Amino acid sequence: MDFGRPQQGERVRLRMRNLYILPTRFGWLWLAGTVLLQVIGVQMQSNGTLLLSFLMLSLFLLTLHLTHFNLQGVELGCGAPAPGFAGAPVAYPIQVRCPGRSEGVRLRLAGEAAGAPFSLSPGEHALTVTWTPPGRGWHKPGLLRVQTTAPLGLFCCWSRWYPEAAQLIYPARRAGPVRLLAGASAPMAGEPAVASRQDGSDDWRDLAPHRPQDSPSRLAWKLLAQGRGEYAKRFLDQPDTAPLLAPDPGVPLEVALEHLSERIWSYHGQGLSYGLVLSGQSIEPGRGMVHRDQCLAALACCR
Amino acid sequence: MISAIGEVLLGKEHQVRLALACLLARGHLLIEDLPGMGKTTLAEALARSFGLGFKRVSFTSDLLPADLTGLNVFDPGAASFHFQPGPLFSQVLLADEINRASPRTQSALLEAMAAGRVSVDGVSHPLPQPFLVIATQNGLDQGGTSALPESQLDRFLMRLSLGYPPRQAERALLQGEGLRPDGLSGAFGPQDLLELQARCERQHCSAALLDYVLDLLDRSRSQPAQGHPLSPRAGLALVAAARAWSLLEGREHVIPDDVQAVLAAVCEHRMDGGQRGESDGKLSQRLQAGVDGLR
Amino acid sequence: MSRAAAPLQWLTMGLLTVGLLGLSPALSLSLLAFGLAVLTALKLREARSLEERRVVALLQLVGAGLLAALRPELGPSLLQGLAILMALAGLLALELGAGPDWKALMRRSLQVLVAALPIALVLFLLLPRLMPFSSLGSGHGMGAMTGLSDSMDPGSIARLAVSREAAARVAFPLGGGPPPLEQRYWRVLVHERFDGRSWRSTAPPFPRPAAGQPPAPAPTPAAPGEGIQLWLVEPSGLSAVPWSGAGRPLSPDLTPQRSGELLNRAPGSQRRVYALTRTADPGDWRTEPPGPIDLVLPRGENPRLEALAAGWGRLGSDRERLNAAGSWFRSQPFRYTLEPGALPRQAPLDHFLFETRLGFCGHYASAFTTLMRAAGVPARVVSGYRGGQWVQPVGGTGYVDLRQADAHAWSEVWLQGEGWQRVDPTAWADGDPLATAETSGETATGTAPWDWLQRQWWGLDIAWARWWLGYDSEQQQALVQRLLGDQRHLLGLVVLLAVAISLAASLGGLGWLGRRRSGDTLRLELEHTLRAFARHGMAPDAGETLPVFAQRLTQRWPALGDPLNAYVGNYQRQRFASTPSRAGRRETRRLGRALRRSLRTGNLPKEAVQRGVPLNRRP
Repeated sequence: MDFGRPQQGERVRLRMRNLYILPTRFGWLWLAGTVLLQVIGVQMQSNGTLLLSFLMLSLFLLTLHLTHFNLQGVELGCGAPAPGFAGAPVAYPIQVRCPGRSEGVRLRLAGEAAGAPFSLSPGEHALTVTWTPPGRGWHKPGLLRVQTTAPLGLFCCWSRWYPEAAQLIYPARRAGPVRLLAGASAPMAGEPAVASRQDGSDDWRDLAPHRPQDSPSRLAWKLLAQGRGEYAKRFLDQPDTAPLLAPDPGVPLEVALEHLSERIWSYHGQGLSYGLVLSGQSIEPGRGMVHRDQCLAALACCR
Repeated sequence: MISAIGEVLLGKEHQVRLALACLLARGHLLIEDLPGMGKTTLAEALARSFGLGFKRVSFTSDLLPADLTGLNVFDPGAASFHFQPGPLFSQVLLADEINRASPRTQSALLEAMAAGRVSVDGVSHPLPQPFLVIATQNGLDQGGTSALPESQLDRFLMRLSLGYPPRQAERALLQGEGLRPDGLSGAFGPQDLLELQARCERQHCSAALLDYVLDLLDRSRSQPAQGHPLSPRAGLALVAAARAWSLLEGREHVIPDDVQAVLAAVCEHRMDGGQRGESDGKLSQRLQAGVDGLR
Repeated sequence: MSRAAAPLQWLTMGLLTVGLLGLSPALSLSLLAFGLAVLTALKLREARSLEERRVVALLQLVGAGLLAALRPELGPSLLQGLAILMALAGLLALELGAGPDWKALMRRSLQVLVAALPIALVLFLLLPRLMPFSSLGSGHGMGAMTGLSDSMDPGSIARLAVSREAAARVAFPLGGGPPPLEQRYWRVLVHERFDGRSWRSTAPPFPRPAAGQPPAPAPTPAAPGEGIQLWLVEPSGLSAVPWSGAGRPLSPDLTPQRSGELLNRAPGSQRRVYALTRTADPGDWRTEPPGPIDLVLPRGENPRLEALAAGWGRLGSDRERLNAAGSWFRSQPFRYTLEPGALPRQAPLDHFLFETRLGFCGHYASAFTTLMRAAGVPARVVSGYRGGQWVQPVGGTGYVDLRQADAHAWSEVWLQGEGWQRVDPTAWADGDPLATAETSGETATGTAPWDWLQRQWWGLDIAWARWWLGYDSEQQQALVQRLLGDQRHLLGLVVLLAVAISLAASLGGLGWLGRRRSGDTLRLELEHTLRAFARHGMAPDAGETLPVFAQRLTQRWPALGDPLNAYVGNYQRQRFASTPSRAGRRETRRLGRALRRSLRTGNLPKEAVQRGVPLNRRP
């Protein structure tokens, strides 16, 4: 039971026209049970059995509507998908707006296992579906099927939709060789040299008037003894040399990108600085989440 | 009093209020900002308006824990060691550029903040009450710093960013209309502050409000894409700060607006994992928008 | 799949098993039910997937339906209803995700069931009944029940006389109290065959419509309505069921015999419910002439008895012989006792009549009948029940409660011109319990609360039998007749319409239940007010608090500022302050009404009211 014209667009509102409903196999079995009970009831002239049989029939009629109401009027929309890595399950956000209570709603992307059913209260919900993207770059997750069999599993009501928002997929992380370009200890072009040098404790730099918050160990005792007033010594640190990462020419580009992806991830985890040089673009050394994402995005979109 | 401090920090009433709420909620404050934005002034103004002792320490990479806590000094006269308290033993401590210190020193400070006492050579010395640490941290994209780990960030009740003053306020500043902190009268004493802190804890939190806070926490945990999940300690911090805020608003009970007022200051640094500026308050905004505020 | 699913399904299984317990294993349908239960349990044990568990739930429902056919009484029906409820809850648990606990599931199951009930009732009440396709050769019970037996020897009833076990209950739906105590003889078996020691019934143990016998005349269509007697008989193992001897059975599988027995074609091992209706010709069995068997007597066994009877035999008419016997019995010092001691093998009746003169109904009936036969009057022994206690349950129809202790035997004699007449020789004896009961009012009433409860329950049981089990094809026809008159052809349309209406009502009700927020009146009131504003296109933004929203509203409608502020202030106090009060809640409601009123009564600027709320208000 998977037919029906898939919906397109950023948002889709489920209504009569794009919702499909059919009895499940269990639904047919249920009807068979109803008939069986009817036969027993007639044969035995048993009111209880007859009533139960009619009860099952009316539950069948009732759940036809209840199942349909679970999805009727529900609006689906794309969220802003966060980037993910290829080759691993990636979460894709779906915004769901329910006019009423929706029970047993399952979202499933084509080719993926169905998730656990949700029970959604009226209002907005941000749900996620997971999918395994095929490779790096911008990808759409494909056909999304939203379905419910609640409350009794007699009917399956579904609709199909192609979510419009594309998701940025980074290359898969795979450990391997990466080309490290010579450390960028020299200041980058266009950057004032002094900005890369920070106050620190390595090299003596300067004297400055002593402030009360300065540590006594930094007091220039010699000057104080000479009666030239209180001065504090200033030191400065050499900034760390940050490696520039580049794809290893010895492996195919796609694999090299995967190695780079892994390396960037691990550098970020260790809090190290790094830069990235790819064909046609280079990213200056830096660190932080924004920097990492920028580098990974460059990998994802690298041609 | 807020207006008094506001005179000192022109155009920063909201931040002053948050800092004050932090003080009332017995929390500690982390300020991330560029130099020259008035961090010192804020700390000093807070300290002076309650008549609290104020010290300032510049953190450097060679700063040792003992430089903060103090150490046992041999007293030749008494032929014994006696404890010489360090700058930590002040009621308001401004820890400048905390990210410059070695992780060891940082953790000594944070432990003292959490425990309210300092152990030196096996003897524990209680810190003065009230005790407020205002730590400042510069941007992380500078070298030679040890960023505060996420677990330590959690110990700060709030993170603020003062930012540039509005044009009008800056004009007034340039005209010299602002007050110097020393001009603040000590209308309140440390005792008043302790009393206010105690009152703060008695502010009423209804079940509906706690539900709201719990919904916020749940929401942050169910949305992994939207920053780090909030810890139970974050929940406690949120309630404490909201209580202080409601007291400042002159109410006896806490309402969701109080929670929302402190939400960004309390939760943003817990959610963005210390990556300052990247989220720019968006995470807590998104969190707030995700939970029904009508209770 | 909720964690509650497996426990719920196992619990249902347990309920069904309990329901199976009382079932006689001899019925083929019972075997089917047993088999189904075992199958379902096995399936449940090995079920892992959703699909398998669903099938388990369906099997459980079918099992409950099968049980309903086998055990239609009130108690088992309640059990079956519970099992159905739980089976549905188990099915719901499969679909609703991990969230709800078993309590929520049961509530939901009840909601769904109640919602489905109207439609089911419409179909049940209005759809014409089908007749059974063929009469199933249902197996027969074994007569191992306590109660009367088809062979009556003088000692047999004494065993029953101490048993307080329930035998039957009879109600009189047409109203009126029970017949007077001396008229309460409920006949079951007629014993005509006498071998000098015991009396045997001529009724076949399990009657079948004899081939040679002309089929029973088609019963004249009974007037719709209820019978004059409604019987509820515990399993007996007998092929005959008690009745008063008057009336005509409504069920086709009960046939009155010429001897005055009411033969039951259904197995006696099952509880029976049947009704008797009034009939025009009173007592055809009473005028049925006696056969030679009614005079058969093994001569020479009881010489003194025969000598006594021979004297009466010389009297002119049967009536005179009967009277002579009666006066003889009354003149002798007979005493009623349940422990008369064993009778000798030689001339037992002589021993009883002329020496011990101690005995109970079996002795009296046997001796008297033998005397009558010896005197040439056709006579037979009838066994059944006598008396019974009239019970009036709280708010129900009264009924006569018959216990096994009420078992009795009496005689019937054929009087020329009068037909079969009941003679109860026990009544002539000294210490007859019925006579004592008559003088001391009703039979001893059980005073224990347990007895009282049991009587109430049986009262319910009677009502259940009357209204539920008694609803059959004829009742259904009568109902349709009453509803539609002669517009019978509209039945299909009416049923469809009624189903559609019930469906709509059920869906509406369920929807209302789903929308209903539990309990919190303050919150409901707020939502009411918010809906009023939403109709004017103002809805709170995501995460917006009430004061902020109120500010936005005031910006749009400055005139509303005051009532809004009052309302919001009050609401917030009630909601978040430490001292919410009932009066405060009322005040909030009042302010809410005032606010909505001022919103309605055109305090609004004449702007184009934008309908509907923009879908995504998030920034």
